Amino acid sequence: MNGAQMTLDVLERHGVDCVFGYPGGAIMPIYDALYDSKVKHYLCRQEQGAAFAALGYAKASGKVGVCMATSGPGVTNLITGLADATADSVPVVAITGQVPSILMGTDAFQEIDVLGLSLSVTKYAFQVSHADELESTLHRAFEIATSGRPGAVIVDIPKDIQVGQVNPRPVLVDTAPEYLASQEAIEDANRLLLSSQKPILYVGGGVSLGNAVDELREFARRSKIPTVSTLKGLGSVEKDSPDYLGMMGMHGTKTANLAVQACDLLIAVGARFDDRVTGKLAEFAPHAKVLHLDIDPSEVSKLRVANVALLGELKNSLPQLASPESIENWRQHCLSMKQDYGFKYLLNDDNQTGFIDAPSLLNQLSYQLPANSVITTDVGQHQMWVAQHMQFDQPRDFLTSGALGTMGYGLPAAIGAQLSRPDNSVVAVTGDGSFMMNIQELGTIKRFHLPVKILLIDNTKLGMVRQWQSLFFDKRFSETDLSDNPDFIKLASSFDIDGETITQPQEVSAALERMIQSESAYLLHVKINEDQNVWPLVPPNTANQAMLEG
Amino acid sequence: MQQHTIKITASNQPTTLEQLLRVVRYRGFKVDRVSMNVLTPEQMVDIQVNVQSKRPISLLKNQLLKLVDIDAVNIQEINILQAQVEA
Ligand SMILES: Cc1ncc(C[n+]2csc(CCOP(=O)(O)OP(=O)(O)O)c2C)c(N)n1
Repeated sequence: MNGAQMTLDVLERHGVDCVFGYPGGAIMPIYDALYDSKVKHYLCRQEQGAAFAALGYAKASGKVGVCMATSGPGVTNLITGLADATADSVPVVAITGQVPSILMGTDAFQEIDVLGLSLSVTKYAFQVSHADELESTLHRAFEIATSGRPGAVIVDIPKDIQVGQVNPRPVLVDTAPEYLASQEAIEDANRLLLSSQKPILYVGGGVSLGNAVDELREFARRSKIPTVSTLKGLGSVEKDSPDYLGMMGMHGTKTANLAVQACDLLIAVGARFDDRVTGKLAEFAPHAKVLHLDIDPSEVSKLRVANVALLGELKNSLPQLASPESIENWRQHCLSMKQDYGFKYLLNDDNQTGFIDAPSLLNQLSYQLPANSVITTDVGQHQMWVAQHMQFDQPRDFLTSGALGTMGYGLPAAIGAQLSRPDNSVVAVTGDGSFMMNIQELGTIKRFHLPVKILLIDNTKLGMVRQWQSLFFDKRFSETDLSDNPDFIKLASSFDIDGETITQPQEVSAALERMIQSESAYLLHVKINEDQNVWPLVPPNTANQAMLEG
Repeated sequence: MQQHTIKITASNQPTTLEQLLRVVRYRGFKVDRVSMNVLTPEQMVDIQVNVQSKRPISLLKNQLLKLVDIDAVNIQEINILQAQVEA
């Protein structure tokens, strides 16, 4: 067996049945081995597409996503996706071909210093230097990608090692020991909880990553603590819970932000006090003590000092938390804010503005879609509207580029999600700017007959940037016009994808239904008013109660 | 500006030192001095880095402990006078 065959063999042993990639000189031996492998390869049309497809596959399924690329430009194209995976803690393993060992360090054709390139954006980077290290390195890559706080791991394999003979050996893979919070810390946490009168449960992406959704929901149900979510936490909290106040932060609900600003105890679960969440840090939750539950010690007290930290598996810590006793007044206060400040939707026939209202459309989509459908987004206004106005059964049903905010994520991530969840509907909600960033992946959808649905919200602008220009740059609309967009329906049609354009509120319900019912890929192109903006919005470096409401 | 000595035990990998110095820089610390010794039997290294920053050293320590190859991080505050004598 050669190194290339062994590489695929190890993938199979880790339960990998599909990989996303793009071939080239330095990875040809692995592509040759793929030719008769059980591992199914999905050819994407740019390496960034392959990386995002692997991310979408991983996030939607909870498994490791695998992508591959050739040396040099193959790796540089892949790197944005790997940075995104690491920033959002998604387990991805990337296999890259490297020039032969003898040429390494000579600026050979398509040679790039992969370790130097990837150290800052991956959880770990390996370069295999001997054939007999290959097998154990690959196992280790899976272990690192999935353990603790997950992330992307790159394994760079020189061409001579791919073609060289290797001897497979049984490899003992250590499973990382369970990491549990101390009993003493739990007691401190419970003292804080029991003395609190106005607690808030602040739920981040770590809950889903730590497979602690059930434990979180159980704690929320039993304690009745009013709960808010970050962008990456969406779907973790039971969507119909009366105590769920919605998303917090820059585009959070008024109720969520006001409740956090007024609380006396903030229970952060798998969340990291990101600047898009806290607004002006010094004025964030000014009356609150902080109880921080996380698997990653470097997140605790990084931005906001924690009074008590519970470091370890959230699954284990959450069931041990006490329920505060006297929070009923606070709870009622939060419930009445939720009643007063809830979003109002303009239903189709009541909408006489002549324009489709994007929030209402997305809210309606949420009700029309079958349970457990997957939504991916790109980045911009449409992303925030999805976060504000759609509800998800599970965090694995909502895929978005949270930490890095990478335009171009949505379409390839939907491809990966559709392949990992063939029985669920997958809808990529995108903007006319973002859609064009990985538009080549329509070719992948065509080739594999994937029934991915695309909901394109077209304002003929780079909407989110334009919104900021309008609010903070005196309406000087520098380089945000896209009024010369292509004819998207014709474009899709050249990839054999059906679709339609709608412009009027009265067309929304039926068009959504046609998209959902379509058995193959479908593009629903929705034209909206270029001046429709996302509200509320907390201006940067401002306290969260000072939100603008449009 | 606080000065500190960080003593690190790590696995001897090709990227260990580079990754360590990258994290020190990115997290807002300036390096005054570095030394590294390979321990026999060669799988481990001892690294000592003198750094300064306005940021709390605990933040850097937590980030370093997160690196896959780093096993242990010990911090010593440098008494400025002593640092001058040593220099
Ligand atoms: C790769 C990348 N480049 C630039 C940006 C900055 N950016 C954030 S939102 C946005 C506009 C997005 O426009 P569009 O996809 O049409 O969505 P809309 O805001 O109009 O809904 C831009 C340029 C980004 N997030 N990612």
